[in-house]
Amino acid sequence: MFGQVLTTVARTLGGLAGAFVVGAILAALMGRSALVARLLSPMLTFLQGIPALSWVVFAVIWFRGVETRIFFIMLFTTLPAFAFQLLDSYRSISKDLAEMVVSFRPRRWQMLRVLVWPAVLPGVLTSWKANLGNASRVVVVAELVGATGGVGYELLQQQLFDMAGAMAWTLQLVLFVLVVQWVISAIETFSLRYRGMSERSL
Amino acid sequence: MTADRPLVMDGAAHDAASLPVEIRFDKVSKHFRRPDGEGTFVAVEDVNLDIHQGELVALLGKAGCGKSTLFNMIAGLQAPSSGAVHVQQHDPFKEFAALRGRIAIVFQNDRLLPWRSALDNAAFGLEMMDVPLARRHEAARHWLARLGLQGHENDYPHALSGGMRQRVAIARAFATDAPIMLCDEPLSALDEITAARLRLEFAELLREAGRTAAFITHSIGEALDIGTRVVVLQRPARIAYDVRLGATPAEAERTEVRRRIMDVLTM
Ligand SMILES: Nc1ncnc2c1ncn2[C@@H]1O[C@H](COP(=O)(O)OP(=O)(O)O)[C@@H](O)[C@H]1O
Ligand SMILES: [Mg+2]
Repeated sequence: MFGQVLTTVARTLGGLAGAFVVGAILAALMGRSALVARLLSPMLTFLQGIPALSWVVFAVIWFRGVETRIFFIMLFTTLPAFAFQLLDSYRSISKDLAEMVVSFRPRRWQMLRVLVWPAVLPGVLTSWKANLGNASRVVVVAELVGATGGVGYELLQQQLFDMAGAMAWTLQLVLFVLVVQWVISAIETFSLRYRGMSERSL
Repeated sequence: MTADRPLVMDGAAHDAASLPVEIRFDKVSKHFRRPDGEGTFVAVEDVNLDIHQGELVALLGKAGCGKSTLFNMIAGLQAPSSGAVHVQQHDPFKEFAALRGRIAIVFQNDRLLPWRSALDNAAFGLEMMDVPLARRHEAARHWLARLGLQGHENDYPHALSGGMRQRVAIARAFATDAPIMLCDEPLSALDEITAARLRLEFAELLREAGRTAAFITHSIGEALDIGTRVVVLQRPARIAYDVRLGATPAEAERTEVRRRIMDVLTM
């Protein structure tokens, strides 16, 4: 019972992780070269416009394995947003701070560790939260590619209008999404505690 | 003009027993492409300047005359358009790793990493030089204490005042123990009282360490108080006046130098 939800959650997080890694690589390439950015950015915008259902059809045509298909769908539906959001965080690294760090002549990995990573971290966490919501909606559609387990599959079994069953599966998935969101928020609160808070909100 | 201490124009003559040259500008020009792409903008024009070991050079000049650009070339953040810059016989732009730990900069604003405590910010330069944690924290603690920040080691920058943040930035530079120090109007972002108090300490620190330093200032008083040499720039950066001061310049000499600086600045 819970196993089905966990399967779906694992597929969601797996797809997001893949999209995050590929998105980060693309963002780094675009951030370092204006030419690459001019080339990739319209392609990503184009991908972003393709509906989730089209990806489902492409996945069925191009791939055999169910998990491969699902991963492919999750990857391409969340990749553009990740790439754009990460590029944006990378570009908004303070030029003043970058110059300060460079003036100490760091090695490349030092630069990444002491400046780039902490500076983009808030953007990374935000992009995870935003894409998680999107991915949890796409994943049940992705599970229509012939999966024999997962929330999408179970929902399909309820199609003879078993409202209670449909609700139960939906709520379970939403609950897990909320738990993951909560975990990300906790990481956010901990890792961004340096920012301090004003006593009165705006 | 006193006979035993000549006013030197454009670094042409030097004391016979001068120490090694630490920073050398050799016919350096720097152009920037205009934002509209129409031609170039000359920020630095044909500068020749030797800065010797132990000299505290005050750079004076109107806003936008290229002082920061000169610093950026020493720091290796920008390459000259023509001519050559050498720091301890190295090209600071091309030989990036060779000068690691040799130059420390105090910028106009504090430029602290907001996600690091005062201690880790002060230790930052040493961290880039691969100094082990315990040793760099010891040095950072020492310098924070010297700058009156004892008890604030674990504070994040957002919890410090502007003056305190600039002190952390100064601690970060001194903690590296770099032989060359560049300071770009380090006190200009502070209120007058804080700046005045910090100025004296700062001058003291620069002198006692016996390092080579260049500092940009817009205060003639500050230049004469801290500097052992004053270089006045015109726009675009060309050296208009260059004078070495004795350890304790007589009042008459100070007045004369001040007058000459005023003349050049108002030209
Ligand atoms: N990266 C840049 N691109 C274009 N113009 C620049 C750049 N940096 C500086 N300049 C120009 O060069 C001149 C000198 O700048 P700067 O060295 O910052 O002056 P200062 O520090 O003496 O006030 C200014 O007119 C400035 O507009
Ligand atoms: Mg400046």
